[in-house]
Amino acid sequence: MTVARTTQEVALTLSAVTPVARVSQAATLVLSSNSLHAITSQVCVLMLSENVPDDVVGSNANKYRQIQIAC
Amino acid sequence: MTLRFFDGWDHYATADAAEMWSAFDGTSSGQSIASGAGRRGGNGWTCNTTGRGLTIAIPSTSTVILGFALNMGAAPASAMNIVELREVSTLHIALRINTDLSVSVLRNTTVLGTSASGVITATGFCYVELKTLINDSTGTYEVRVNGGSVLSGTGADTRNSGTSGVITVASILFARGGQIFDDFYICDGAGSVNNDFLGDRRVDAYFPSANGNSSQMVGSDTDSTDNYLLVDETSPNDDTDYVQSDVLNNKDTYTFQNMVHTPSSISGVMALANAKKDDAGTRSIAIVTRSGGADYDGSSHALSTSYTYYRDILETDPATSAAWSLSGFNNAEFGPKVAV
Repeated sequence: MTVARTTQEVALTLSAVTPVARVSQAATLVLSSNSLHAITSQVCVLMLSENVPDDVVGSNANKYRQIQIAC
Repeated sequence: MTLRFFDGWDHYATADAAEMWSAFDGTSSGQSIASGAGRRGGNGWTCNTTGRGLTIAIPSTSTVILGFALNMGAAPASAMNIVELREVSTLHIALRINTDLSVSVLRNTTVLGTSASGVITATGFCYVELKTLINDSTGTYEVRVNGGSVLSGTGADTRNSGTSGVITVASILFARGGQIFDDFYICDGAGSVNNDFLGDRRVDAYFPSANGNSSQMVGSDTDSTDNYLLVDETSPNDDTDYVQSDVLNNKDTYTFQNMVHTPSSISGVMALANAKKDDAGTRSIAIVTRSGGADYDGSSHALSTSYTYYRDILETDPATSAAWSLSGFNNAEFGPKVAV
Protein backbone atom coordinates (compact mmCIF):
# COMPACT_ATOMS: atom_id res chain seq x y z
CA MET A 1 0.00 0.00 0.00
CA THR A 2 1.26 3.35 -0.96
CA VAL A 3 1.29 6.01 1.73
CA ALA A 4 1.02 9.58 0.91
CA ARG A 5 3.49 11.53 3.09
CA THR A 6 3.55 15.23 3.29
CA THR A 7 6.38 16.90 5.11
CA GLN A 8 5.66 20.45 4.15
CA GLU A 9 2.90 22.31 2.62
CA VAL A 10 3.63 25.77 1.34
CA ALA A 11 1.45 28.08 -0.55
CA LEU A 12 3.18 30.79 -2.52
CA THR A 13 1.21 33.63 -3.84
CA LEU A 14 2.21 36.15 -6.41
CA SER A 15 0.10 39.17 -6.20
CA ALA A 16 0.17 42.95 -6.50
CA VAL A 17 0.95 44.96 -3.39
CA THR A 18 -0.11 48.49 -2.42
CA PRO A 19 2.85 50.17 -0.70
CA VAL A 20 2.43 53.33 1.29
CA ALA A 21 4.53 56.34 0.36
CA ARG A 22 5.72 58.33 3.30
CA VAL A 23 7.05 61.90 2.87
CA SER A 24 8.76 63.65 5.67
CA GLN A 25 9.81 66.83 3.79
CA ALA A 26 8.71 68.58 0.66
CA ALA A 27 10.97 71.05 -1.13
CA THR A 28 11.28 72.47 -4.59
CA LEU A 29 14.45 73.57 -6.32
CA VAL A 30 14.21 75.52 -9.51
CA LEU A 31 17.08 76.17 -11.88
CA SER A 32 16.16 78.87 -14.30
CA SER A 33 17.29 82.12 -15.84
CA ASN A 34 17.06 85.11 -13.54
CA SER A 35 14.98 88.20 -14.27
CA LEU A 36 16.94 90.63 -12.14
CA HIS A 37 16.70 94.39 -11.96
CA ALA A 38 19.25 97.11 -12.28
CA ILE A 39 18.47 99.50 -9.45
CA THR A 40 19.70 103.08 -9.38
CA SER A 41 19.36 105.03 -6.18
CA GLN A 42 21.18 108.22 -7.07
CA VAL A 43 22.30 109.95 -10.24
CA CYS A 44 24.54 112.99 -10.19
CA VAL A 45 27.11 114.74 -12.31
CA LEU A 46 30.42 116.19 -11.20
CA MET A 47 32.03 118.96 -13.19
CA LEU A 48 35.72 119.84 -13.13
CA SER A 49 36.30 123.37 -14.29
CA GLU A 50 38.64 126.26 -13.78
CA ASN A 51 38.40 127.94 -10.41
CA VAL A 52 38.13 131.64 -11.12
CA PRO A 53 38.30 133.88 -8.04
CA ASP A 54 35.33 136.19 -7.69
CA ASP A 55 37.55 139.24 -7.66
CA VAL A 56 38.67 138.48 -11.20
CA VAL A 57 35.42 137.75 -12.97
CA GLY A 58 32.93 138.25 -10.19
CA SER A 59 30.22 140.81 -9.77
CA ASN A 60 30.52 144.37 -10.96
CA ALA A 61 30.19 145.38 -7.34
CA ASN A 62 33.47 143.70 -6.57
CA LYS A 63 35.17 145.39 -9.50
CA TYR A 64 33.79 148.75 -8.48
CA ARG A 65 35.02 148.19 -4.96
CA GLN A 66 38.48 147.44 -6.26
CA ILE A 67 38.47 150.69 -8.23
CA GLN A 68 37.40 152.63 -5.20
CA ILE A 69 40.22 151.21 -3.18
CA ALA A 70 42.67 152.04 -5.96
CA CYS A 71 41.48 155.67 -6.02
CA MET B 1 41.02 109.62 -21.70
CA THR B 2 43.56 111.13 -19.38
CA LEU B 3 41.35 112.55 -16.67
CA ARG B 4 40.99 109.55 -14.39
CA PHE B 5 39.06 110.77 -11.37
CA PHE B 6 37.94 113.84 -9.48
CA ASP B 7 35.89 114.54 -6.39
CA GLY B 8 34.67 117.46 -4.32
CA TRP B 9 32.95 115.47 -1.52
CA ASP B 10 29.63 117.16 -2.20
CA HIS B 11 27.45 114.22 -3.25
CA TYR B 12 27.74 111.56 -0.54
CA ALA B 13 28.14 111.02 3.19
CA THR B 14 31.19 109.67 5.00
CA ALA B 15 29.75 106.15 5.09
CA ASP B 16 29.53 106.17 1.30
CA ALA B 17 33.20 107.07 0.72
CA ALA B 18 34.14 103.48 -0.10
CA GLU B 19 31.50 103.47 -2.83
CA MET B 20 33.11 106.46 -4.54
CA TRP B 21 36.79 105.68 -3.93
CA SER B 22 38.58 102.35 -4.44
CA ALA B 23 39.39 102.04 -0.76
CA PHE B 24 38.60 103.91 2.40
CA ASP B 25 40.76 103.21 5.40
CA GLY B 26 37.95 103.89 7.79
CA THR B 27 39.60 102.09 10.66
CA SER B 28 41.32 105.23 11.88
CA SER B 29 39.32 107.91 13.57
CA GLY B 30 38.74 111.37 12.25
CA GLN B 31 38.25 110.64 8.56
CA SER B 32 35.07 112.20 7.39
CA ILE B 33 33.26 114.56 5.14
CA ALA B 34 33.98 118.02 6.48
CA SER B 35 30.54 119.52 6.03
CA GLY B 36 30.64 123.12 4.87
CA ALA B 37 34.40 123.31 5.42
CA GLY B 38 35.41 123.09 1.77
CA ARG B 39 35.90 125.90 -0.67
CA ARG B 40 32.89 127.99 -1.73
CA GLY B 41 31.00 126.77 1.35
CA GLY B 42 30.80 123.20 0.13
CA ASN B 43 32.12 120.05 1.72
CA GLY B 44 35.69 118.86 1.99
CA TRP B 45 37.45 115.78 3.32
CA THR B 46 39.45 115.59 6.50
CA CYS B 47 41.79 112.77 7.52
CA ASN B 48 43.47 111.69 10.71
CA THR B 49 45.22 108.49 9.94
CA THR B 50 48.51 106.72 9.58
CA GLY B 51 46.81 104.36 7.13
CA ARG B 52 45.96 104.97 3.52
CA GLY B 53 43.11 107.43 3.96
CA LEU B 54 41.23 107.50 0.68
CA THR B 55 42.72 105.54 -2.22
CA ILE B 56 41.77 105.61 -5.87
CA ALA B 57 42.95 102.98 -8.34
CA ILE B 58 43.97 104.16 -11.79
CA PRO B 59 45.15 102.35 -14.92
CA SER B 60 48.88 101.65 -14.77
CA THR B 61 50.83 104.73 -15.74
CA SER B 62 54.34 106.09 -15.37
CA THR B 63 53.12 109.71 -15.32
CA VAL B 64 50.68 111.14 -12.82
CA ILE B 65 49.37 114.67 -12.42
CA LEU B 66 47.13 115.49 -9.49
CA GLY B 67 45.85 118.55 -7.73
CA PHE B 68 43.76 119.48 -4.71
CA ALA B 69 42.80 122.41 -2.55
CA LEU B 70 44.40 122.18 0.89
CA ASN B 71 43.69 124.00 4.11
CA MET B 72 46.28 122.97 6.69
CA GLY B 73 44.57 124.77 9.54
CA ALA B 74 47.96 125.11 11.22
CA ALA B 75 51.59 124.23 10.58
CA PRO B 76 52.08 120.52 11.27
CA ALA B 77 53.84 119.47 14.45
CA SER B 78 55.81 116.92 12.45
CA ALA B 79 56.40 116.24 8.77
CA MET B 80 53.51 114.38 7.18
CA ASN B 81 52.88 112.73 3.85
CA ILE B 82 49.70 114.04 2.31
CA VAL B 83 49.80 112.14 -0.98
CA GLU B 84 51.30 108.75 -1.76
CA LEU B 85 51.57 107.19 -5.23
CA ARG B 86 51.99 103.44 -5.15
CA GLU B 87 52.42 100.46 -7.40
CA VAL B 88 49.94 98.17 -5.69
CA SER B 89 51.40 98.37 -2.16
CA THR B 90 54.92 99.62 -2.97
CA LEU B 91 55.39 103.34 -2.43
CA HIS B 92 57.06 105.17 -5.31
CA ILE B 93 56.47 108.86 -4.64
CA ALA B 94 55.20 110.78 -1.64
CA LEU B 95 54.37 114.46 -1.30
CA ARG B 96 55.16 115.72 2.20
CA ILE B 97 54.36 118.85 4.17
CA ASN B 98 57.11 119.83 6.62
CA THR B 99 56.86 121.73 9.88
CA ASP B 100 58.14 124.93 8.24
CA LEU B 101 55.37 124.62 5.62
CA SER B 102 57.80 123.63 2.89
CA VAL B 103 57.01 120.66 0.66
CA SER B 104 59.20 117.65 -0.10
CA VAL B 105 59.00 114.95 -2.74
CA LEU B 106 60.21 111.53 -1.62
CA ARG B 107 60.96 108.26 -3.33
CA ASN B 108 59.63 105.90 -0.70
CA THR B 109 61.42 107.37 2.37
CA THR B 110 64.28 109.10 0.51
CA VAL B 111 63.88 112.86 0.14
CA LEU B 112 64.47 113.87 -3.49
CA GLY B 113 63.96 117.58 -3.00
CA THR B 114 62.51 120.20 -0.67
CA SER B 115 61.07 123.62 -1.47
CA ALA B 116 61.63 126.87 0.33
CA SER B 117 59.80 127.21 3.63
CA GLY B 118 56.36 128.74 3.80
CA VAL B 119 55.16 127.78 0.34
CA ILE B 120 52.05 126.28 1.93
CA THR B 121 49.80 128.62 3.87
CA ALA B 122 49.13 127.64 7.47
CA THR B 123 45.50 128.69 7.27
CA GLY B 124 43.18 129.17 4.36
CA PHE B 125 43.12 127.18 1.15
CA CYS B 126 45.94 126.92 -1.35
CA TYR B 127 45.86 124.75 -4.46
CA VAL B 128 48.62 122.14 -4.59
CA GLU B 129 49.57 120.15 -7.69
CA LEU B 130 52.12 117.39 -8.25
CA LYS B 131 53.39 115.97 -11.52
CA THR B 132 55.83 113.08 -11.60
CA LEU B 133 57.35 110.61 -14.02
CA ILE B 134 58.45 107.28 -12.58
CA ASN B 135 61.85 106.19 -13.86
CA ASP B 136 65.13 104.86 -12.44
CA SER B 137 67.27 107.62 -13.94
CA THR B 138 65.16 110.03 -15.97
CA GLY B 139 62.39 110.53 -13.46
CA THR B 140 60.91 113.97 -12.93
CA TYR B 141 58.80 115.73 -10.33
CA GLU B 142 57.33 119.19 -9.92
CA VAL B 143 55.13 120.75 -7.27
CA ARG B 144 53.05 123.83 -7.93
CA VAL B 145 51.16 125.91 -5.38
CA ASN B 146 48.44 128.21 -6.67
CA GLY B 147 49.82 127.71 -10.17
CA GLY B 148 53.42 128.66 -9.35
CA SER B 149 56.26 126.13 -9.36
CA VAL B 150 57.83 125.71 -5.90
CA LEU B 151 59.88 122.54 -6.38
CA SER B 152 61.08 120.51 -9.34
CA GLY B 153 63.69 117.95 -10.30
CA THR B 154 64.82 116.08 -13.41
CA GLY B 155 67.11 113.14 -14.00
CA ALA B 156 65.90 111.71 -10.72
CA ASP B 157 65.43 108.17 -9.53
CA THR B 158 61.72 108.20 -8.78
CA ARG B 159 61.21 104.47 -9.00
CA ASN B 160 61.21 102.26 -5.93
CA SER B 161 63.14 99.02 -6.38
CA GLY B 162 61.56 95.70 -7.15
CA THR B 163 58.73 97.11 -9.18
CA SER B 164 57.75 97.55 -12.78
CA GLY B 165 57.76 101.31 -12.40
CA VAL B 166 54.12 102.22 -12.76
CA ILE B 167 51.61 103.90 -10.49
CA THR B 168 48.38 102.05 -9.90
CA VAL B 169 46.92 103.76 -6.85
CA ALA B 170 46.96 107.22 -5.34
CA SER B 171 46.19 107.86 -1.68
CA ILE B 172 45.51 111.05 0.19
CA LEU B 173 46.17 110.99 3.89
CA PHE B 174 47.38 112.90 6.89
CA ALA B 175 49.17 111.99 10.06
CA ARG B 176 46.88 114.13 12.13
CA GLY B 177 43.49 115.74 11.79
CA GLY B 178 42.34 119.23 11.09
CA GLN B 179 43.43 119.60 7.47
CA ILE B 180 40.83 119.85 4.74
CA PHE B 181 41.00 118.57 1.16
CA ASP B 182 38.72 119.78 -1.61
CA ASP B 183 38.54 119.85 -5.42
CA PHE B 184 40.73 116.81 -6.06
CA TYR B 185 41.70 115.63 -9.57
CA ILE B 186 44.09 113.04 -10.97
CA CYS B 187 45.25 112.56 -14.57
CA ASP B 188 47.80 110.48 -16.35
CA GLY B 189 50.02 111.43 -19.27
CA ALA B 190 48.06 109.74 -22.02
CA GLY B 191 46.01 111.43 -24.71
CA SER B 192 46.06 114.96 -26.00
CA VAL B 193 44.14 116.80 -23.28
CA ASN B 194 44.22 116.77 -19.49
CA ASN B 195 47.73 115.33 -19.54
CA ASP B 196 49.57 118.17 -17.79
CA PHE B 197 49.00 120.54 -14.88
CA LEU B 198 45.38 121.72 -15.01
CA GLY B 199 45.84 124.62 -12.60
CA ASP B 200 43.41 125.63 -9.88
CA ARG B 201 40.26 123.59 -10.54
CA ARG B 202 36.90 123.35 -8.86
CA VAL B 203 34.58 120.34 -8.64
CA ASP B 204 30.86 120.99 -8.56
CA ALA B 205 28.12 118.40 -8.09
CA TYR B 206 24.82 118.69 -9.94
CA PHE B 207 21.66 116.65 -9.42
CA PRO B 208 18.54 115.82 -11.46
CA SER B 209 16.02 118.63 -11.60
CA ALA B 210 13.28 117.23 -13.90
CA ASN B 211 12.30 114.33 -16.14
CA GLY B 212 14.17 114.16 -19.39
CA ASN B 213 13.52 112.56 -22.75
CA SER B 214 13.18 108.96 -21.47
CA SER B 215 11.18 107.61 -18.51
CA GLN B 216 11.15 103.85 -19.01
CA MET B 217 12.35 102.63 -15.65
CA VAL B 218 9.95 101.83 -12.84
CA GLY B 219 10.33 103.68 -9.60
CA SER B 220 10.15 102.34 -6.09
CA ASP B 221 6.76 104.06 -6.06
CA THR B 222 5.74 101.48 -8.72
CA ASP B 223 5.25 103.94 -11.54
CA SER B 224 7.39 105.79 -14.07
CA THR B 225 6.14 109.22 -13.18
CA ASP B 226 8.64 111.83 -12.00
CA ASN B 227 11.39 109.27 -11.65
CA TYR B 228 13.94 112.04 -11.20
CA LEU B 229 12.60 112.61 -7.68
CA LEU B 230 13.76 109.10 -6.75
CA VAL B 231 17.42 109.60 -7.67
CA ASP B 232 18.07 113.25 -6.89
CA GLU B 233 19.38 112.96 -3.34
CA THR B 234 22.51 114.86 -2.41
CA SER B 235 23.63 111.71 -0.57
CA PRO B 236 22.52 108.26 -1.75
CA ASN B 237 19.64 106.80 0.28
CA ASP B 238 19.93 103.27 -1.12
CA ASP B 239 16.62 101.35 -0.96
CA THR B 240 14.62 104.25 0.42
CA ASP B 241 13.77 105.28 -3.12
CA TYR B 242 15.14 104.27 -6.48
CA VAL B 243 14.38 103.42 -10.10
CA GLN B 244 14.82 99.93 -11.53
CA SER B 245 14.29 97.78 -14.58
CA ASP B 246 14.97 94.27 -15.79
CA VAL B 247 14.14 95.11 -19.39
CA LEU B 248 17.10 95.39 -21.70
CA ASN B 249 17.60 98.90 -23.11
CA ASN B 250 15.06 100.52 -20.80
CA LYS B 251 16.42 103.88 -19.69
CA ASP B 252 15.74 107.11 -17.90
CA THR B 253 17.31 110.44 -18.66
CA TYR B 254 16.95 113.51 -16.50
CA THR B 255 17.65 117.17 -16.89
CA PHE B 256 20.07 118.63 -14.39
CA GLN B 257 20.57 121.83 -12.50
CA ASN B 258 22.23 124.60 -14.47
CA MET B 259 25.80 125.44 -13.70
CA VAL B 260 26.19 127.82 -10.81
CA HIS B 261 29.12 129.73 -12.25
CA THR B 262 30.56 130.74 -15.60
CA PRO B 263 33.73 128.74 -16.17
CA SER B 264 36.45 129.81 -18.53
CA SER B 265 37.08 126.15 -19.27
CA ILE B 266 35.57 122.79 -18.39
CA SER B 267 38.06 119.97 -18.00
CA GLY B 268 35.52 117.20 -17.78
CA VAL B 269 32.14 115.94 -16.64
CA MET B 270 31.71 112.81 -14.54
CA ALA B 271 28.31 111.11 -14.82
CA LEU B 272 27.59 108.99 -11.77
CA ALA B 273 24.98 106.41 -10.85
CA ASN B 274 24.77 104.80 -7.44
CA ALA B 275 23.36 101.41 -8.39
CA LYS B 276 23.16 97.67 -7.77
CA LYS B 277 21.35 94.54 -9.01
CA ASP B 278 18.76 92.84 -6.87
CA ASP B 279 19.77 89.19 -7.28
CA ALA B 280 22.42 86.81 -8.53
CA GLY B 281 23.07 86.86 -12.25
CA THR B 282 24.51 89.24 -14.79
CA ARG B 283 23.06 92.70 -15.04
CA SER B 284 24.81 95.84 -16.28
CA ILE B 285 23.93 99.46 -16.72
CA ALA B 286 25.30 102.15 -18.94
CA ILE B 287 25.06 105.84 -18.15
CA VAL B 288 23.39 107.67 -20.99
CA THR B 289 24.39 111.19 -21.95
CA ARG B 290 21.80 113.00 -24.05
CA SER B 291 23.24 116.00 -25.86
CA GLY B 292 22.28 117.74 -29.05
CA GLY B 293 19.11 115.68 -29.29
CA ALA B 294 20.85 112.30 -29.35
CA ASP B 295 21.56 109.67 -26.72
CA TYR B 296 25.11 108.47 -26.20
CA ASP B 297 25.66 105.35 -24.10
CA GLY B 298 28.66 105.20 -21.83
CA SER B 299 30.57 102.03 -21.10
CA SER B 300 28.74 99.03 -19.67
CA HIS B 301 29.14 98.60 -15.91
CA ALA B 302 28.53 95.12 -14.46
CA LEU B 303 26.54 95.57 -11.26
CA SER B 304 27.13 93.96 -7.89
CA THR B 305 24.46 93.25 -5.31
CA SER B 306 25.64 96.18 -3.18
CA TYR B 307 25.21 99.82 -3.99
CA THR B 308 28.29 101.52 -5.36
CA TYR B 309 29.13 104.36 -7.72
CA TYR B 310 29.55 103.68 -11.42
CA ARG B 311 31.08 106.52 -13.37
CA ASP B 312 31.86 107.71 -16.85
CA ILE B 313 34.21 110.63 -17.37
CA LEU B 314 33.45 112.69 -20.46
CA GLU B 315 36.28 115.05 -21.32
CA THR B 316 34.29 116.29 -24.28
CA ASP B 317 30.64 116.79 -25.18
CA PRO B 318 29.76 113.69 -27.26
CA ALA B 319 27.55 115.80 -29.51
CA THR B 320 30.39 118.10 -30.55
CA SER B 321 33.54 116.13 -29.69
CA ALA B 322 34.80 119.43 -28.28
CA ALA B 323 35.23 120.52 -24.68
CA TRP B 324 31.99 120.98 -22.79
CA SER B 325 30.47 124.44 -22.90
CA LEU B 326 28.20 125.98 -20.30
CA SER B 327 25.17 125.80 -22.59
CA GLY B 328 26.07 122.31 -23.73
CA PHE B 329 26.09 121.09 -20.14
CA ASN B 330 22.98 122.99 -19.12
CA ASN B 331 21.03 121.43 -21.99
CA ALA B 332 22.37 117.90 -21.48
CA GLU B 333 20.57 114.99 -19.82
CA PHE B 334 22.04 112.02 -18.01
CA GLY B 335 20.56 108.78 -16.67
CA PRO B 336 20.85 104.99 -16.32
CA LYS B 337 20.09 102.37 -18.97
CA VAL B 338 19.86 98.58 -18.68
CA ALA B 339 22.75 97.52 -20.92
CA VAL B 340 22.99 93.75 -20.24
